[in-house]
Amino acid sequence: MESPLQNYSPRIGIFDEMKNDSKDGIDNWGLLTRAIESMGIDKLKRRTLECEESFKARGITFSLGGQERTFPLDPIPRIVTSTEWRSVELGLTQRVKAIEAFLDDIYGAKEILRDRVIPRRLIVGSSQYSRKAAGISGHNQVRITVAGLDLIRDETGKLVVLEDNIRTPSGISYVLENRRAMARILPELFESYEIEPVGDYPSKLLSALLDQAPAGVTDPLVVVLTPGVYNSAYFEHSFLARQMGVPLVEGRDLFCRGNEVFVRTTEGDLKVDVIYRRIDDEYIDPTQYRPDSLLGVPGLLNSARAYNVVVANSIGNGVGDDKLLYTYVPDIIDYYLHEKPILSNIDTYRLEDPDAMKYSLENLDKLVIKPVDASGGKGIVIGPSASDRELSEVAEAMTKNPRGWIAQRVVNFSTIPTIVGSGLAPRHVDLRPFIVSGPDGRWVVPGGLTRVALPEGSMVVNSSQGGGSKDTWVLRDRHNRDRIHIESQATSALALADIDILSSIPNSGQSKAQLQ
Amino acid sequence: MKNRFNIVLARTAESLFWMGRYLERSEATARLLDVHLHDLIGTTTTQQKRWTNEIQAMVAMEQIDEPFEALAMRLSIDRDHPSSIICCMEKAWENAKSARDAISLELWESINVTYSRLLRTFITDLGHSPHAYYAWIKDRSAAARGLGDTTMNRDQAWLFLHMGRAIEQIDLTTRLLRVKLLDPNEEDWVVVLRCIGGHEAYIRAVQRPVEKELAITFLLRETLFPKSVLYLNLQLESALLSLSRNIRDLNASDIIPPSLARLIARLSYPRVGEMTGSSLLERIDEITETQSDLFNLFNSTFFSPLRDLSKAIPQRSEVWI
Repeated sequence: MESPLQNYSPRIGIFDEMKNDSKDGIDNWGLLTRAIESMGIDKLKRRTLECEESFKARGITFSLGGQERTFPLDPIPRIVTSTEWRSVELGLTQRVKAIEAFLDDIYGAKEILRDRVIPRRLIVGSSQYSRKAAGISGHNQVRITVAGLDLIRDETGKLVVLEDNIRTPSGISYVLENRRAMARILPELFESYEIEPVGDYPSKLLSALLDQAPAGVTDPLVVVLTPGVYNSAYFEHSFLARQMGVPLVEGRDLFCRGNEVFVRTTEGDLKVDVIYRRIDDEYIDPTQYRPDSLLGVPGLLNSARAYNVVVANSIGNGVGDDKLLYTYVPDIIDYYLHEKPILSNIDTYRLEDPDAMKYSLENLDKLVIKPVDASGGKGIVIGPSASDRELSEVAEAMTKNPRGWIAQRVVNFSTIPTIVGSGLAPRHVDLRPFIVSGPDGRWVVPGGLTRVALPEGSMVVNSSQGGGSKDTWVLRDRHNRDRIHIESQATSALALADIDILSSIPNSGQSKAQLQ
Repeated sequence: MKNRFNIVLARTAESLFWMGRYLERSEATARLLDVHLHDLIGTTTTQQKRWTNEIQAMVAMEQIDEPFEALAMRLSIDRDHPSSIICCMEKAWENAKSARDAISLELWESINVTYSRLLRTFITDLGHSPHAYYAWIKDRSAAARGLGDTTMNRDQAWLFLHMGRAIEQIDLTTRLLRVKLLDPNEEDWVVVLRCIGGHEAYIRAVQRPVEKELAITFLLRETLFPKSVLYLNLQLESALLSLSRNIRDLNASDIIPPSLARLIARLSYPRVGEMTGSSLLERIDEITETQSDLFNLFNSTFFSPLRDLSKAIPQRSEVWI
C-alpha cells in the first residue's frame, strides 16, 4: 500500500510544520507519522467521522444561518515542542501583562499619553474606547481575565502575533472537546507522546472569577452571561457554565436594583457578584450603550462602577485590541515593563502616515487590509485574492477614514498535513492560545485552538468561512523525561539538555521594522 | 455555605416545564393519529368526518372540512402548524437547549439527536409508513423520559420537567374525554383507551369487557394506571411537596392549590352519582380548573420574578395550551 505521506509536498517558500521539524534534533513528528502510515487514512477518517457524529449528537455545534454546524476536526494534530512553548508562554504573558497595564493606565491616570509614547488621538479616535468605563476595574486590577491571542508561524518558522483578542475571545470549548475526541481517534499516541493536559481550564477560569469578587463577599455567586441560544457560540457558553458549575444566564434573567445585580431564580432573587460575560460592550447595558439592545442588563454599568458586581472581561477592553494600537504594543511593553518583546508583530502600516497610505494604496493587491475595531475576521480584505471591486471599495474606505484601517504584509503562514480526500495535503493553520489571569498569576493553556483553512491555498481559518480545527499537542518537557531514560534513549536528548531556552526566543529587534 | 448547585433560574424552570409538556404532547399526538389511521380502513365517511372534527377540537384547531389523511399529515410534519408533532419536538428541543445546563448530557443528546433526525429525514414526507414515524416518535419521547428519570437527580430541574409531563398528560386525557362525552354516538371506548395507550392496561387491571363507565372510571381514577387523572394528580402533589423541601422559605401549604387537594379527595372517594351523567362533566371541569390553578401557580411563583405568595393562588382562566 502506498504511504499517505509519500506524496506529501508542501508549497515552496512556506513553512511546513512537519517537514521542517527536527530543528532541535528530535524527530517530534516521527511517532505520529508512523502511526498514520500504519493505520491508513481510511481508518483515521472513519474514526474522525464517528467523533463528528458524536459532536453533532451532543450539540457541539455553532449556528450559521439558522443551521447547526460542527466545526470540522482534522485528526492530524499540531505538535509544539516544550522548548518552543516555554518561550511562547513567556511572550504571551508578557504581552497580556503589558496590555493590562496599558488599560489600567488609559482608564486611569493616562501617563502613557502624557509621556507621548502613543498619540492621544489614537485613544480618543478608537471606537472601542469607552469613557463610561473609566474608573471601573476588576478586583486585583484584572481587566483581561481571559485573553485569546492569534498567532501565526511566518515563512521563517517564527511564531508572530496576528491580533490581540482581549474582549470576549471564543474557542476554548473546542480545545477541550477536540482533546477528548483525539483520545478516541488516536488513543495509541497518547501513550507514546506525553502531552500537556488542557482540562484544567474550567477550574482555572472559575478560580480567576472567584478571585475577582468584590471585597467583602465571602461566598461569591458567579454567572456566565450569554446572548442566548441563537448566538453562534452558545454551546461554548453553556459548556463553560456546566464545567464550572455556575448558572448560565441571559440578560433577561438579571436585573439591577440599588446598584446591585440580581438573578431571578425559583427561590427568588439572588445577588450576583461576578459576571463572566460573553456579550459585547455595545449590547451589555441599554441605558449606557445601544438603547435597543434586549440582550443586556439595564443599570449594569453603574453597578460595576459602584463595585457591587465585577464584569469580566472588563468593559472598554476593546481599545486594547484595536489594530492600530497593535502596532504600538512593542512600545507599550517597553514603556510599562522595560522589556524587549518576546513575540513579534507582523509588519503593519499606519495609514494616518501619508507615506504609508501612499505605499499601501499603490500596493493594495499585495497587502492585507483590516478594519481596526472588528473581530472574527470581519471586513478583512486580502489583497492578492480580492476582486478589483473589493480593492477599489477598500481603497475608498481607507482614504476616507485612515484611522479606521491598517495594512499588513501578507504572511504566507505555515501549513500542517491535513486530510483532504483520501490523502494528506498541506493546509494553512493559525493558533489561538488562551491566557487566564487568576490568583496565581497568568496561566496559559498548553497549546490552544489550531484553526485550519480547509480549501486549498486558503488562508481564512474562520469557522464561518470553511475553517476547521486541529488538536494542539504541547509535548511535555522531554529534557526531564529523557533524563530518566537517558541510557536507553540515544543522543538527541543530550543535545537538548544543552539548549538554552532563551536562545529560541525570536529576535525582538524585528518588531521595529514597521513603517513609522 | 449555600449549595450553589440548587440554583435554578426562573427561566430555566419554565423551559424545563415546557420541554416536558412538548415531549408528552408530541408522543400523545403520534398515538392519537396512529390509532385513528390504523382504524381508517373499513370506516364510513361519516365516521371519518367525525374523527376529523374531534381531533380538530382536541388540538384547538379551526373546524374545516378535510380528509382525515390530510389532517394527519398536517399534524405530523407541518412546520407551520403549531400543534404538529414536528413543531412540538422543535419546541421541546429549543427549551432543552435553553435549559441545557440543568439537564443531563444523556437527555440532551437524546433530544438533540431526535430533532436533527426529524429535520433530516421527515421534513417532506413520512417515509414508507406513517406508523413507523409515529412509533419512532413514541420511542424517542419514551427514551427522553427514561433518560431523564435515570440520569437526573430528583432536584428542582427534574421536578419541573416531571410536572410538565404530568400536566400535559392530564390535559390530553381531559380533552379526549370531553370530546368523547359530548358525542352521543360514541360507542367505541376501546378506541378511546387506545388513544391514551391504556387498552392493554385496562384489560389487565379491570378484567372486564370494555364499556363506557368502566373505561371512564379507569381513565379518571385507576391508581394502578400511570396515566389516569388521579395517578397523575397524586404525582403532582408529591412533586410539589418535594419542591417545597428543595426551596428555602417555602411551605407546601403555600403552593399546593386547594383545588388539587379537593380533586384528589373527590377522585379517591367519589360519592354515588358523582361520576355519571352530567356530574361527570362537572368533574371534568374540576380537573381543568385544577390544571389552570397549577399552571398559574407556576407562572406566578416560579417562572416570574414575583415572589408574592398571596398571588400564588391564581385567578381562573379558561383555555390554556
